[in-house]
Amino acid sequence: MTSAPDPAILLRGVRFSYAPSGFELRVPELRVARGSRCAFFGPSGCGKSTLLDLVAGVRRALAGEVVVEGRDLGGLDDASRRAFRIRHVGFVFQDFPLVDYLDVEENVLYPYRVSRALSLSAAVRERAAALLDRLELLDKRRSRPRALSQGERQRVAVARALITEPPLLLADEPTAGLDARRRDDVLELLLGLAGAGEGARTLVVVTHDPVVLERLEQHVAVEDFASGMAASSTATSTATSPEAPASAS
Amino acid sequence: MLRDVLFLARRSLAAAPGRAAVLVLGLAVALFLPAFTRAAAAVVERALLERARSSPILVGARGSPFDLVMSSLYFRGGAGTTIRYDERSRLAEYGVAVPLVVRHSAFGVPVVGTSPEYFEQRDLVPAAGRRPALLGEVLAGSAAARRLELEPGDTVRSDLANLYDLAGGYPTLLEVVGIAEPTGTPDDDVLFADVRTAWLLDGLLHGHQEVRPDEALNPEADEGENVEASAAVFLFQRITADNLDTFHLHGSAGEAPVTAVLVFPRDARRHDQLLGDFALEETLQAVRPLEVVRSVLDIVLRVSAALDAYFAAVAISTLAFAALVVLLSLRLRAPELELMRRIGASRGAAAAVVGAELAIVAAIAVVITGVAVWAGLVWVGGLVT
Repeated sequence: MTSAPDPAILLRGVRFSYAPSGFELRVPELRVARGSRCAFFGPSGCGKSTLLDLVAGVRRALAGEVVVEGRDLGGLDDASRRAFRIRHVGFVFQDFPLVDYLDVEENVLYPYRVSRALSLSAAVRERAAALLDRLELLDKRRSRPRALSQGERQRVAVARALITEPPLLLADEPTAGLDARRRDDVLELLLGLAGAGEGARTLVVVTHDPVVLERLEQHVAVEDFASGMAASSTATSTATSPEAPASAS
Repeated sequence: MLRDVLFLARRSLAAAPGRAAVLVLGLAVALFLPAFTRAAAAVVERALLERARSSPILVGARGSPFDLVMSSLYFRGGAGTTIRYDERSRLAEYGVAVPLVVRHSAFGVPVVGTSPEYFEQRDLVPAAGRRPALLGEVLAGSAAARRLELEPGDTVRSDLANLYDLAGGYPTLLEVVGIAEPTGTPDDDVLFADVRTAWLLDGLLHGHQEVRPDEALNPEADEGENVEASAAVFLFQRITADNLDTFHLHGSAGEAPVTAVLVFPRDARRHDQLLGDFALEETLQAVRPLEVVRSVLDIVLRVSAALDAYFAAVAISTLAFAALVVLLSLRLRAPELELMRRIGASRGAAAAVVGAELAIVAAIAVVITGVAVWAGLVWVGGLVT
């Protein structure tokens, strides 16, 4: 009998709350396997982004264990958590924000400009060029964000998330507000870059889009962990995928 | 990390040049006003005091000590009244007494009549040529020579002192015999001549063609009696070897006017003695230029202090404006700052990027201010000397 491999994400007995609002997240146990594609889903305000922030170490759990890529984030101080995040976690945000005063290449290299934990080298620049080439943006490397189309901006933001070669890619509602074609483009991009099989990145996507859910094998219904939500936020609920139950208590 | 922070700050500033320019200029103005005022006041103070310190006592006609000092030390304005030349002999008992006649000019440049002791006391040496020795000769100060494009051997015509004074001096051609070394003092801006040359420009000393009895106003004059020349007699307006002997002073030299006598007392006792002896003089005054200049500077410093308050108000309003621009800029950059926080940038990174921008703006403003203050001080220095 062989023991199960370490998960990419393990939350056990985690508690987090926004004191003034009474909102609270309680996660008895959540495992996301390495290389898997996981969705945190649920209605607005149920705590999907909060859960993502706990996994990324942006927020700190009040209690419990948050282990990501084998590191217990609860045991790290703020600086160590930031260093861990910038090295091991790629973040894709809902609006794909770019820095307007930097060109495409410098936007991709942005994490190296703002963190002491990373060091910008020639190899990193080559990696950025390769990424831009793969994303068909190499000829736009000197363009400013305002000169890009929406799709190009999204690809730049994804390239920035991947430049540090993180094993974990977190995407916070990357398809919200997009039409069907753009949604599919973004989804294909994320899935393609996350890779498949051995050596694939773990991909976690916050979403409430059923089409996106269909493409991801593991579903986590975040509202199951939440209490104290605003009434309007608890109106809808989607069950976890029967194929890959993610939460167990 | 510092290199990266500076990189981002530079890019951010370059992307909004208008905002950067407003910040730089606002800060530069706020820095320049008080910095320049203080520095200029210090330059003026230093220059005025230095000149005053090197001029222990001035004796002139009773009146405004300020006018006497400005005229005799800085060659500005003219002493309205004069004293007799022979006061110099009396003052020589106390130390070196140097006569000064400051009331003539050539092309607007003061022509100062004095004696050779002046050059020795002021360490005024010719860079080219020599000091004036004969009537009608001048030594040009370095700046005056530059302004009038003079070289040794050139001539310069004195200005007409009074168009309606027919008995006064006529414009006379003065010969430049030397150019003085620059001293950085008001001596650079004038032409120095012998005191007799100043009297020549006064019209008290002149040369003219021989007056024949048949052209005289008193043709019946007896043998040995002075003949009186009429206006038809030709007055020489240039001193040459041929006519030098004809120049003469009407009356005694002791009664001729000087605007002041600069006294360099032999010792402290004579210094105090001179001031004491002249304290009760009814027609003369002995002043210590240092005291006069200090009293003027007191007023300047009081004005400067009032200006400081004004400039402080300007600086506060400028800084408030700059703070507003920075705050608005931070609001505009809120998405970027949030991005930095979420991807794992260090807590100080955002502050460092914004701080680096402000530091670059401040550094440029300081450089601009420094250059402007320097240029201003060069200009003020020129005015002072």
